[in-house]
Amino acid sequence: MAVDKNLFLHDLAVVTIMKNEAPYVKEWLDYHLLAGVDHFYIYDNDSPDNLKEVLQPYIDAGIVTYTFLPGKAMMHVAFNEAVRKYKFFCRYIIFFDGDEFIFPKSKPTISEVADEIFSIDPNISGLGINWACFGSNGQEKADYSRGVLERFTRRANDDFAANKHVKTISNPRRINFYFNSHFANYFENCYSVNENGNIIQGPFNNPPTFSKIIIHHYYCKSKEEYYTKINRGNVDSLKDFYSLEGFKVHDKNDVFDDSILKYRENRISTLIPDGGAENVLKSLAASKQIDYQKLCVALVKNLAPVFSEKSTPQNFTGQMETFLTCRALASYLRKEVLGDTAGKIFEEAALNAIFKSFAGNFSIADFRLLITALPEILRLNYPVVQNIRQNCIQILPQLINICRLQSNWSEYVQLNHLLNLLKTFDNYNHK
Amino acid sequence: MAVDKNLFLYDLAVVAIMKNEAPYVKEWLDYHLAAGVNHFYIYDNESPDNLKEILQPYIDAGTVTYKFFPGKAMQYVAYNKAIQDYKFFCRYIAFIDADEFIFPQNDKSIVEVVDEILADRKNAGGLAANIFYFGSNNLEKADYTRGVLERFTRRAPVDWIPLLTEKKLPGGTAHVSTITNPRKVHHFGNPHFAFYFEGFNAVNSNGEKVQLFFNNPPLTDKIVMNHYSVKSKEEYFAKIERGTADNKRNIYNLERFARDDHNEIFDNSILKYYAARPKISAENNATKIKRVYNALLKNLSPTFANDAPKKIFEGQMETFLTCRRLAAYLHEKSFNETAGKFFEEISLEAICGTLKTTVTVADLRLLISELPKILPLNYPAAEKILQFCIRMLPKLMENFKTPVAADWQKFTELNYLLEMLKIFDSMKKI
Repeated sequence: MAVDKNLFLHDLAVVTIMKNEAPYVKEWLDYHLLAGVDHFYIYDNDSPDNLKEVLQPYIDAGIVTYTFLPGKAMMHVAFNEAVRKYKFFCRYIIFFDGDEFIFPKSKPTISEVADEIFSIDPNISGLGINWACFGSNGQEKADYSRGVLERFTRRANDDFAANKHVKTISNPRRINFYFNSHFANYFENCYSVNENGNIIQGPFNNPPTFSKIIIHHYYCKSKEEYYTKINRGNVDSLKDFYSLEGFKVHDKNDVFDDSILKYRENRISTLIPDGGAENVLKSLAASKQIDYQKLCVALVKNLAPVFSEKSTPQNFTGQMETFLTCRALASYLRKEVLGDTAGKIFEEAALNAIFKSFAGNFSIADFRLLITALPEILRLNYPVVQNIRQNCIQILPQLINICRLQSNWSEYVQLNHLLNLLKTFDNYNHK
Repeated sequence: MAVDKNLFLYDLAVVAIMKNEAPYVKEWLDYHLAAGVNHFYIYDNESPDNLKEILQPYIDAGTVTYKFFPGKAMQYVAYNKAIQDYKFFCRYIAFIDADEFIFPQNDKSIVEVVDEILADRKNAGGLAANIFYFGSNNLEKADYTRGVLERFTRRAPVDWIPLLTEKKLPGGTAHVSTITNPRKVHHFGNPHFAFYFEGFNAVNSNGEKVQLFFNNPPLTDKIVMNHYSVKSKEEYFAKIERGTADNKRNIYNLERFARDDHNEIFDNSILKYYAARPKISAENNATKIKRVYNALLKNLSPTFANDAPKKIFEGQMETFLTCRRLAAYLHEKSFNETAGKFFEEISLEAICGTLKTTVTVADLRLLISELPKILPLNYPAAEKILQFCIRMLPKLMENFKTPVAADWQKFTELNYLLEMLKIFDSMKKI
């Protein structure tokens, strides 16, 4: 059962890692705010430019969470950390880059397109969106006074080889780990689809599909901008990623396509009808704020069965993901707004709900999600935490057995280790 | 640095999972005892025959540890459990089947050959021995009155190396069987080879790195594995009627018989070797416990002093983890409770000592694998080890995010472990 969308701090968040993107980032942020993104987790990979300065108003408005993350090849460190930290706070997360613009075509916002496709099947956990690669429009020189969307309006034909790549919007609660910029590794029986709901594997959706949602990829920009990229590293590997050859291959200008500009205009006139388009942040900031009132109401509503004497086991069946989300939200609210008195009541209620949801059916992915949340759950000091741990100790052998049947012996050994660690908690008590 | 051999209960143990091997097992045990195996861990995969009865004298003598192990596809469950349970009790463990006979050349014992090859090979986690496949000797009928070694004296030639599957990987004599240092093994998922901790691999008898399940061209001058997978036609087809321990699928069929039944080369050298082996009497328990006690004393005494120099600890993680396990064995089995507990605490302190030196990735992984046993212990050193692991894990994770050999699954696994350990830290021991 899909989790109540009101339980999330952010409906759609972006996770990205950036270096040398300062001149472009304002346009990119504003565009995506218009397209329905609520929050950005931006990892700054040692940018030598004034990225932080450009981001500052967005950070101050609570729209960007900024993390300085120096070091080489840090993309997957950032992505995996974001999954771990934020998966219960964002209904959807999309992992992509500062030169990519997501363009929803069949609906006004990205989330609405995603909702339509994710609702096809409950096991759908990712939506792979094809690239539309844009060329240099024959421009030699950089012109930072104008935006990327306006400057580059010519793209490759649909069947251009690189267009088969996707970037993925995920239900982050189904992600096992991220190891490739294009797609995630999901828990058992969870998969990624294209816009038609067909299963896709790996980094490609081939032939590309362009009707409901696409990603404009401004890989080349002007020749001058491309050449400066060549001289710099890449955030996801140490390889020489950019080459002169790469420019020739990607600089395709076959089709004139300025539809994204019209889409942006349209969004502005819908969202900011009374003027103020020149400051998208100022105009939209209020609508992107976390609504604590709404979150508390959703928490009460979703946890109601715990407080009701009339509730039956059916009220807890198939709700593991919901109650784990409630627990994370309760802990967040306890820390941020509610304080201990009310916060602890919600936290304990959510934990009780998690415990009760063991009684009904739950999927492997649900159990996996619970396991990932254990480090946060086990440190809490409520009696029911021991019951949850005991249940995990009882159920883990089943998951271990699944690994055996799949001949996944590395994971088999790993989960056995976890099982043994969980058993050692008997020797510990809360301080 | 190699761990002192006197610390181990057994110099060389064999782990095997069996089903329907009762008629053969006595010969197999006696042969390997003569070749220098000290102990057998036998997992009985629901044998319908009288396996247990035949093993009984060996169980009574303490030579066989018997585990009833029912269920389908249990081979690697057994192997991985054996590693977890026994890796500190056995200096080497060979993982073989009841139709495989480890055959060291030049009249040596198995351990003599393994020691010779692995000595000074810093990255060697195991020895991969090539496999000689023995055929049916064109025998139609089973004759259980005579042993397998005597009945089947013809095998495939050294250069019988069929290419397997679409990947064209070499099979036949190029196949290997592995004798491991179990403390370097991460897991088993294939009958022929183990997955080792970072920096370790199996080597062939020239000391060269071996990957996956083959060593090509085969090396047979120091040690081989005689594999009697065919036996007589009657015995072969009896197998068709049954599953095998490692797989739900039935892998025996006529086509395979034709492929496996190789009788080109006459080779009875294993019979001569067996006949010439001196009689080895098993070490009695009292002597063994005394030996281990003395080894613990010897290995741990240099660490007693408050000002023990750093070099005493350098590169000794494997040794001190072995000491810890054996010390626990002494008190768990009530051989010597006082000394056992004393040695256990000293071992844990010594492990802390090694943590102040440079520790390899494999040693850290070994320590992590033992955490479920160490963390519940009520010694101050257990707490110090926990603290160290929390500090060290982020550095260990760095190894799995290198651009050349990134492994994001391992990275996230270790990250998860780190988060779990932090909870222990936030709690107090009862």
